[in-house]
Amino acid sequence: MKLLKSSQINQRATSRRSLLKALGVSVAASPFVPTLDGWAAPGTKAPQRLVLLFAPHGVNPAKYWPVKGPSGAETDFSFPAGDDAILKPLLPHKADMIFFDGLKRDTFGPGDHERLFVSLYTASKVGPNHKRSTFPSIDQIIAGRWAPAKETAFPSLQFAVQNWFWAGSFAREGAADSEMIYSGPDAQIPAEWDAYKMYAKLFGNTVAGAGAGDDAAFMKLRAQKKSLLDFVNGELQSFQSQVAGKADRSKIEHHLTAVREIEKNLQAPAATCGAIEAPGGMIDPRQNDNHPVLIPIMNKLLTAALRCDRTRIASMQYSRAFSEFYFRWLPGIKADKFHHDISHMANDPRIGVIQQWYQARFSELLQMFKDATEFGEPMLNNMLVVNAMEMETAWNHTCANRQPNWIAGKLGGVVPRTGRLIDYKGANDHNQFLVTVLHAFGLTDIQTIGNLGKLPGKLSGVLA
Amino acid sequence: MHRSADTRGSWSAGVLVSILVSAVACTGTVADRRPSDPEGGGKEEPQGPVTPPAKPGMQPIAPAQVSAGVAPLRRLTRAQYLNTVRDLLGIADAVSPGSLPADDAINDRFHSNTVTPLQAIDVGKYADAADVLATKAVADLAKLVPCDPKLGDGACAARFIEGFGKRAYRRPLTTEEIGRLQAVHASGGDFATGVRLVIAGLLQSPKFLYLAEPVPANAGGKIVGVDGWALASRLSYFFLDTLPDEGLFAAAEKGRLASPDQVAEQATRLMSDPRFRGTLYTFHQEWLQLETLPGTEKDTQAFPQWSPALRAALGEETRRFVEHVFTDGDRRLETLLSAPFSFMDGTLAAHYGVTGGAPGSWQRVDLPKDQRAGLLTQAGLMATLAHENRTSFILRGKMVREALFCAEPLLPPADVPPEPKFDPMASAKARSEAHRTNPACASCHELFDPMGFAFEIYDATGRYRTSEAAGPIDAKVTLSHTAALDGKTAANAVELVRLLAGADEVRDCVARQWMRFGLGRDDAREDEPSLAAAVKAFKQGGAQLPALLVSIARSDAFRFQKVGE
Repeated sequence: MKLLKSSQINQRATSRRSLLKALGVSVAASPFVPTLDGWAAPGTKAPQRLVLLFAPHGVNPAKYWPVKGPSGAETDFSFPAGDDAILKPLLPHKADMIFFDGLKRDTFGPGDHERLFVSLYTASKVGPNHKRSTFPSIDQIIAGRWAPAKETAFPSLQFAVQNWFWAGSFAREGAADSEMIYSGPDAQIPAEWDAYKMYAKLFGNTVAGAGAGDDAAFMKLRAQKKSLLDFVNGELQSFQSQVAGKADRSKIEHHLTAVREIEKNLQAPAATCGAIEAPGGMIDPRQNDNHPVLIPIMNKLLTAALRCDRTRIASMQYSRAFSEFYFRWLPGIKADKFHHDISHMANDPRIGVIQQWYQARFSELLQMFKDATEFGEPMLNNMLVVNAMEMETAWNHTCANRQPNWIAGKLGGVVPRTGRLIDYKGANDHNQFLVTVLHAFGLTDIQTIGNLGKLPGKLSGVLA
Repeated sequence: MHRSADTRGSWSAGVLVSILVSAVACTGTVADRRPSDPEGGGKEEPQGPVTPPAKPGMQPIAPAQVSAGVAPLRRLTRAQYLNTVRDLLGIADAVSPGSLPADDAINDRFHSNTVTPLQAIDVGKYADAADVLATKAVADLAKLVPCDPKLGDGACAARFIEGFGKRAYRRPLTTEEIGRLQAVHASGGDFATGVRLVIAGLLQSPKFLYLAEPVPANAGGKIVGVDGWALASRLSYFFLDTLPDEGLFAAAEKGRLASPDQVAEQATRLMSDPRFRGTLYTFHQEWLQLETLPGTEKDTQAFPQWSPALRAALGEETRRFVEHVFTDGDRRLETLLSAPFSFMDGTLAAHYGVTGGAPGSWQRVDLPKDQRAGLLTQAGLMATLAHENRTSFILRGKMVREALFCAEPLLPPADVPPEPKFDPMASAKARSEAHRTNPACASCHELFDPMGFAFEIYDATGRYRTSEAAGPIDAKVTLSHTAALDGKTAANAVELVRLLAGADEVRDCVARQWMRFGLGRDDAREDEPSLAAAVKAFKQGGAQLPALLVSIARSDAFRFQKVGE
């Protein structure tokens, strides 16, 4: 399979001027997602992609777990019914998904919110006094080793919606329960929650401040950036000779390599793959009630980033693991408490209603992945979308015996049979689920990750 | 928060794991591995007759009796970066801490970036921050440049580069550096843009981001004096957590940081700078791992009184108390660790169950002597070292062992058995049953569980209590695994901290902690003579904390360094 190189994409890009014209288009305009095959080189195939999802505070188990049908076949199952039935919004995508039941999860004792969240995609043991992961998350393991990740401008991208939200402030920025992606021990990769910044990063070629359709201004800004990088490079080289000791010299070597990487990225021409909308209007991310406004915007940007092949590995995180949103926008719900506090009220129907609302946002995202067709088929067919919840029963933080996970997409045939409910009956665990994702991207030498969960290997019956 | 790994950390983790498995070493005295008074401790403080040379990179090799550890290259922490740009440009709050690369920490405590190398994403963050700050700075160009910006010419740019560059690099620029910055200025096209680019360039330069300490070529393994400009930075980042002030620049310029007395004089002067108060709070926050207090959440059903306002007031109490002890109070360690008073506003007084003023109106309050004694019994610390819905004797005991007995970070071993089922409503001693019955757990938990039991008189929000759901609180402990306190008993945390407040081993550990904080690195074997001298001065000065800080500044470990190989 020949994959498109980002340099090839750039050669085919429309001019900077037409991109900037397109930026003026309002949010309502469509279609916002361009077609990949419209500009891909002949003979290329759609790339594979991974997306990890997160929405907080688990479920009401009675309203979550899919129910097996009378035939006993994996394809014969239904979702619980009712106003607070959690998976109902995913019904349109049932045939493209696999639901996992009977997976154990090692949580290193009764979990608190941070512990369950930080270990979700890392399988890292986390205690109250060491709250960050000691291991990289699965997306970063893939980004580091899966060759196609390196062909795009960004080996991976982290999207989030108000993942620091706490009493209307930025106070939880970078907190252990705000960031779930890790590149290594204690090294969180902060997600981008600012739609404007994410837009600039994706389609502004990292030159912030160029605007108003002015090619000359764009070139000038780029020249200034280049001049600064040259200066930093020169200073690093003269600094190098003053540094003694192997360890310190290696720090400067790393710094130099990092600067060269940025320099290389800067030299690439402005990237676009058609008309992409900039997020319209000013939306204050500190406002509780902007949560439902910001999610669709970030969902669109994520779809566009994948569609334009700016990255092949991404994550999307709604809120954080101690969520303080008041769900005032949901009809008929008493919003006297924020999400975390509601989640601790055993069997409260609002638990299901709120998680159902988040699943509906995921459903919309899956629909966008389907609507974006490339080479005649939905983009979702070449994707693996993973949703794991940090806990099962919301009010007592448990998930030791029944970890709620689902996936969507066939990853170009790597996940051949979807539309199933697989019950592992307690014989397998969440670590194996994570390893299965790694194997899906060809990292079959990995048998366990992190230090939670001791069962080796992938889950049976998922991959081709 | 911060990355914890460092070369030493991985060593200690490895050692810890092996000693846990062998079930022997955890039963040894932690302090054994860290003799508080090596080499007799009574040796004269070595006085290296070294004059810092005028030019960087020309330090003479130190006399043979001087001993100092290797000082790894330090990159500014988030706080240091933000303080430095505040003092350089007069800009605060334009860049949030979270938008800068994360910090490493020494022994999981003191922020210092000595290990983790930068990745492209980090370099990009520094570039973005520099861009934001430079743009904001040139909005008021007249304040910044030494001429009328409208008439700004090459000569004015050159003067700006030399003046501003010297403060940014914390030393005079070389001719080559001035040349490179002039090229950057020229690339801007116009004067103002050029100035913006010069500032943006300096703020992402390695010579700004790292605390450079030039050493002679081919001196690997040898001890050399820290160059005067670098020593000025060591002092300013120790005491003020920011770039050197005018006084330090002048002292470095004139070679007046050559003797221990000259360094001590500067250290004493810096402690009267208002910014030193910020440093004090930073030390205590990092030392006791209080940094997580602002994000500490509680089960709102069990603790309906827990609120952001209360949380903020708890932090403010500690800040005011520490400042008081160091500046207006008797400055003694014993007071810090056992004072029967604190500072409260109305919000806090209600939480403590004492009478106080209105919310936001702060005053000194005497506390019941049988309920509270000093820093370690403050409600903010107790709430931080607890779970959402219950206390944690483990976190509290671990804090005492690590912070006051200088135990290496006590991490769970790799193969810890699954946490046994326990009744969350049971007493701490009952909950810890398995720690005693399973030898694999006991060998380490007996180090810190008992210390933690003493603090059971405080609930998960730090309120004093005498009973809980399971019945009356039993907070009595018998000390073990100490150098000189074994067999002593304490009825509860109040009695325990009074014992600790007067103990030599605790005093020595506090000296070691301040040394790590002051040096921005872990202490090494070669630093022991310096530590011994500092401890001696501390002791002779009636355990007054400012005296300790000054003696650290004048020590060989602070004024010299072993060149890395």
